[in-house]
Amino acid sequence: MACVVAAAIAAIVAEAFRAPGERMPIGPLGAIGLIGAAVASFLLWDHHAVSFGVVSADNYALFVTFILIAVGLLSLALAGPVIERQGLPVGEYYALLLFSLGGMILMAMATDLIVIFLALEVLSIGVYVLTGIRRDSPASVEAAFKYFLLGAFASAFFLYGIAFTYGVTGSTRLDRIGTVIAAQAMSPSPMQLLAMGLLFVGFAFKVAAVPFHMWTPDAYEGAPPSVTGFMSTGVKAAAFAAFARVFLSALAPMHGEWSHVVWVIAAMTMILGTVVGVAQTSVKRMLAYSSIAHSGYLLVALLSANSSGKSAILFYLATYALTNLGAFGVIGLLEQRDAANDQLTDYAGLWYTQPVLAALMTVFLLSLGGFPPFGGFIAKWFIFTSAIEAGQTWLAIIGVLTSVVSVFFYLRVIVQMYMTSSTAPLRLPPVPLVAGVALVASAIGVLYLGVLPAQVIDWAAASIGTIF
Amino acid sequence: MPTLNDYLMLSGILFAIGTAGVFVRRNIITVLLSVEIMLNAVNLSFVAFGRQMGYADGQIIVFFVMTVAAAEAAVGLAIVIALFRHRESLNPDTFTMLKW
Repeated sequence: MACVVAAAIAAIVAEAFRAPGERMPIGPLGAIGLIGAAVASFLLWDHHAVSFGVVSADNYALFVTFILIAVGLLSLALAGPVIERQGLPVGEYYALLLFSLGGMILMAMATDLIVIFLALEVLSIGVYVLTGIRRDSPASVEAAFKYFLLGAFASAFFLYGIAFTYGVTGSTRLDRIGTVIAAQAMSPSPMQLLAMGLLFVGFAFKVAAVPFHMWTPDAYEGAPPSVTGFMSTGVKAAAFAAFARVFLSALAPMHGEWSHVVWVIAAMTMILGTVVGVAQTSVKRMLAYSSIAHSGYLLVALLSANSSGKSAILFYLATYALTNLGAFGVIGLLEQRDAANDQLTDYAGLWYTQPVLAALMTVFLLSLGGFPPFGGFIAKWFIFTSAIEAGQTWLAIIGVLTSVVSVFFYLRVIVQMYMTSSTAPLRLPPVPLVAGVALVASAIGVLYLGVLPAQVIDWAAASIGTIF
Repeated sequence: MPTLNDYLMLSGILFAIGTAGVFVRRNIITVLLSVEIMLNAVNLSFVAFGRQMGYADGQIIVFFVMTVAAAEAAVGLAIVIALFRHRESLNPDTFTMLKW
């Protein structure tokens, strides 16, 4: 029976894919599909449905699915004005968005390395095209090319890692790999270390951790802002879900080997993300570096890997998804057909011309910076306490220091909005209703996660506690 | 009779050639080809491992990988065409619009 319900999810998600081509209100259709998927996942909660032994709808996967569905709904709502203004192909946009969302959900549920690889490709190929969907803009196409090239390069490494894992353990299923590695008395062979390293490189590319982050600022700046919001949150959530599943279940017996590497990478990611972020003048690029830094915080939680660290990953992903989508949604509304309006100076005096947008942007930026009473504060606090509990005091110190530095560049935008007057104020069309509602909803979500986090934290702890 | 090690060695060499190609070549079509070489090097090691262990999994996985590689190549070439329309050049060093 469980399999049937799992197949029902797949069918509902597939139903959402069928939207393209028709001259219909495609966005709402996709939204209906996503709500259907949400209902199905709600019904599946606590069932531990497994199909073919390679796709598992356990509570952990379902929690990530809920985050991804929220990301999908908000992206659909925020995409409308951008598509209209830029004259983008509507059907293709929504179809690609839903396809890659399907890939993300599959990635969260996959328990087999090959299925993870396939899901990774499904989501990446959709996002490559979405990045370059503004074909008349050289920047957009260039961003797509850079993202595509590095993405394909990284997935080759990831696949090579799978091949070696398969060679060493004789299987690509995570549970069997885990058993084989745990049963080993000796220290891991060089080939096993190589396999683990290659898998790590593949994941690090997708979550934009530091030596592998070069594509991030370019891709985030070149893509239309609605796409950037989608890929900075959705891809990161899905990649981290699979990352945590692989490294905390199958490769958990090798924790001693990978923890040093993750330590260094987490520290570098946090430091470089914030330091370079300070130097940016484009708000989009600044948020790209901030998203690199946020990957670093998530890596800290992954490294701590105690019970609070694990639920901190999920809580952080949820908060980050809402906040970043909101911030890029505002950027998307400020953009105009022939001007990106994403420089810091473009935000001067926004409070006087667009008080609501400025207020919403303030909420999102403060949450990203980790101010109470917003969700970002609780999420960061949670990660740093779990790091200290796990004995990673230095990492926690670096994390706190870098988030203090990062507050500088978030506040700079806010100062521009409230305290400077603009010489040439932006003239913007009125904000479309759907996008406005979506922004307000995500702002309320951020506040809710900040003020009353207990419920969501309990869910996160319960969902991750069932599998690792 | 080549052994598993010979196949792995060959696959490692092919992978290294592909990686070097991505960094060294100054034509984006060749760079895409290099990525394909990397994927096929991986395919070779999957087949070799599968054969060694006597399972068919390795060969089956290769079919999936080939499908993915084809899809990737299609998207990649489409992006290259879109890029060429703007730049009239295939040299990746000229794509410097987005920096820092």
